[in-house]
Amino acid sequence: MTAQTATITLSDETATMIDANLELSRRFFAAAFDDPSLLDDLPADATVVLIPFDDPGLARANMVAAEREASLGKRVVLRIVGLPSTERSEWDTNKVEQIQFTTLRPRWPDHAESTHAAIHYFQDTDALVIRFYDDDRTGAPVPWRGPTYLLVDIQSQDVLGYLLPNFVGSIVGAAPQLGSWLQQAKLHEQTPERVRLLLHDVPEETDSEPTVAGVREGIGDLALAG
Amino acid sequence: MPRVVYDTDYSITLSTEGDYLRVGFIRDRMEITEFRVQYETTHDGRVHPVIRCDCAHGFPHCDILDYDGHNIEKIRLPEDQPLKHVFDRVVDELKAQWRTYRAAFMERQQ
Repeated sequence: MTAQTATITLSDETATMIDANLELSRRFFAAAFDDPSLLDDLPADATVVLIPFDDPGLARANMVAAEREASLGKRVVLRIVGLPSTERSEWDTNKVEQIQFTTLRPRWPDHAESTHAAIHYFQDTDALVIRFYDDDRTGAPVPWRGPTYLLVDIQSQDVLGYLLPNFVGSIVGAAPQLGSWLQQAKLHEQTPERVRLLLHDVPEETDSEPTVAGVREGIGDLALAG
Repeated sequence: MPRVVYDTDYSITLSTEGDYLRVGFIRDRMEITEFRVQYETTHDGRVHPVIRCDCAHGFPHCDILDYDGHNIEKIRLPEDQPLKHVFDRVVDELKAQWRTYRAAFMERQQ
């Protein structure tokens, strides 16, 4: 299926991407009208690629667009749109909303894959955050495989963990085995009783937190399922 | 009339095929006082503005442009509204009509 124009045929996929990015632009600039200081860090002549927090498909497509723009020699800035603004140390400390595209070289943790990962679940955004490091660094969400984001520390380029938005609403449906992560998560604005109600089809409860290797395997399965 | 110089000139990438939303602002301290929004597309390796919306000439409007960037039609937008609402109206217009404007633009250059 294609959308016809007089001389150039745009794929429906591209047309849908333009529609979605126009709406994303509205979201971003509406916030800037309310608080113009949001634009202070944005270079005045930047080529900007907006990365939505809550739409992994568009986020990945926009990363492809960012690569194209960078290959044309442009200075590309990735701007994250829609990060939760509620108080939370896990990502509000040193919150990162903007990244120079060319500086992104994510580096996987070199400590043992058998290290346990820390899991946090946030009810208000239905987001699961998995952290590989026991520190308070905050990562920028960078679109990754399937519906997942990597959390990358922009200074060190360390992959700090994963961000999985729409966790109960979508991801657990696609990969029920990952529901066990929610049972081991530190719950933010959520109770264990409600978690049990949220999950309908999950494996038996386990006592220990998953390892880094286990998390990466689970994310790999999720990407294949998606 | 002197050309308006905007403080910023952001090019928001809309697609993987060279479509952009070019956005300029003029700021007075903590307030945006003017804006310009332009939908651009790429053809034959060149980026062309298709429609430009701003508040120049004292009223908000959109200019439909030909292949050489000349204005061929002016669409007036509602006046006496907060700038943020005008910006919203512009994005609404673009979302609803960019396919039409783009197709007409390509047709005119033939």
